[in-house]
Amino acid sequence: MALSVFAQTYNELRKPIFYWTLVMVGVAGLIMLAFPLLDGPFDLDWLGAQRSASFLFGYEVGQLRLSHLGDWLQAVGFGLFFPLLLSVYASVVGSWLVAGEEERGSLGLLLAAPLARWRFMLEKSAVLLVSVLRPVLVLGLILWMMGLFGASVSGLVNLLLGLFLLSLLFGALALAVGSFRGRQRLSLGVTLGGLLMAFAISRLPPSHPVGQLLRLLSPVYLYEASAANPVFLLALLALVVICLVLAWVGFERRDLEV
Amino acid sequence: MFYLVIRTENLTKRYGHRIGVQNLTLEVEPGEVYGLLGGQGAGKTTTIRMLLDFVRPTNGRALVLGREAHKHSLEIRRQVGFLPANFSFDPRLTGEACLRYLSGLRNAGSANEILWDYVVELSQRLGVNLNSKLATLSTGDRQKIGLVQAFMHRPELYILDEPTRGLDAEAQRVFFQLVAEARSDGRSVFLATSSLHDAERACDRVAVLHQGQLVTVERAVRLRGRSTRKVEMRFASPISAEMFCGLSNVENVRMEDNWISCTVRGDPDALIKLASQYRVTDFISQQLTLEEAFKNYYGVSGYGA
Repeated sequence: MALSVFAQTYNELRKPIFYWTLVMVGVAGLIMLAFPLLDGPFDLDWLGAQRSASFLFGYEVGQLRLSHLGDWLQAVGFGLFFPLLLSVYASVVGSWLVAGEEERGSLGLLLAAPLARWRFMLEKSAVLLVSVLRPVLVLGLILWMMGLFGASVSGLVNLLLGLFLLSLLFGALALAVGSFRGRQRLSLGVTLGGLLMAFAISRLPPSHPVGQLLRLLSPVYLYEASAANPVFLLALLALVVICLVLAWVGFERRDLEV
Repeated sequence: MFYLVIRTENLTKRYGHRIGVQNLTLEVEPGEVYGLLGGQGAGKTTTIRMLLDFVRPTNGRALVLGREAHKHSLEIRRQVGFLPANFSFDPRLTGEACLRYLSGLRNAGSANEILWDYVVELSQRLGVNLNSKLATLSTGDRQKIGLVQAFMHRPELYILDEPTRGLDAEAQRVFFQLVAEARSDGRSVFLATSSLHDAERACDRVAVLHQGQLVTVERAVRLRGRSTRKVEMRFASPISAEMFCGLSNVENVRMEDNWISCTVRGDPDALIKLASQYRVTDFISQQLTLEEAFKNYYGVSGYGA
């Protein structure tokens, strides 16, 4: 069977995707395991109202009741661990897709075939999308089956969609930097730096005079805000599209070191 | 319609202040084996990258198979077999998986499907096992996989960068045979090499590149005619130096008892016939290094520096 760039790249990523999915599910399990241990000795609702909790899990945590398992998971999992882990994973994948191919010297062989650069980029972008979507879907399916988010699935879908778009955004950013420069480490470094900065900005207190405005520039804030207002999902989607277009433009115009 | 297989007009590539290639004008005719000879940093790989549209020229233009290299790169690549200077691919793949993947990319939307039997035949001729993972193959065997993928679709034009690098003597012989077969089929070969031996052995014409600039283009037969080799011979008994000094193409004769060293320009036939009058106990023949050859033939030095 003839393999496309998409199929071959996806094959190469099968194991990492599987392991990261396991990590996500494992982290969700640990968060749920920690709940009964902490719920007795501590007043989680009181803890959730503290400033330090807002700093760790985002300012939406104030609207949650942490003494409920579903809200606890939303705050700790979706507020910190899931977006952080999945964004790091997406950044690694994004930086590897083109820059990694170029660094290991196989890009020239692929592009020596009658394969347009845009087509190559399209297939690599599709791999990124699937690589991020799969762990999110598995996580969502498990959480839905556990019935932690009530009878309505829309809240969960909203959270998952936000998580997917946020992670995809950092993956697309890594892809874009890698496509412009062809350096995997540079791409990963820039993207992880951006991720940390995005988290830091999103944690600026709303009362801060500049903070309110600055937070709108942080994709992490857009993600957190999208839990309450799905319009922010569109902003994340727009950023993803911009990064993918930049990746394509960078790759299309650049001299390739193959 | 007659067209030049490759035509470059004042092709120039600068990387900031560094010159990759400057004002390179070349013409490769159909059915020709054309060599691009130069040391490291001469601009061979940059030229190839521009022909395949991996790199865009700063000035000038390149036409491949009658088409502009950038505008028609897809059509060009459909008819070109390419071997990069360092063949590298996912080391977890076997040779077969790698070739199936690359042939799959070539087959997509192509009228001329690659025949797997031909891929196997090429692999057998070059003597490479397709079932081994690339990670376990030697450099030479990986290069053979690279050659198979460049030849497997029987392209109009082969663009090969350092094709004999890492190949054993037998594989080199097969490679030169494949090049000869391609030429006899009317296909063209553009071969970048830093090996004077490869250029002399395989090419019809050779363009000599030095620090990004074209020094000369000459027929390989001329290159072979004036190729110089260092010869050392040891005899069973003392011999007379005058006899060897009398040969018109022999220079720098040095003698010690029953040992002689000299340089021979072109055909060494006369020297060998003369030496055969005595009992020869040892014979060493070495080609000049590329740097020595560049200095002797073209008066340029410092390549690769």
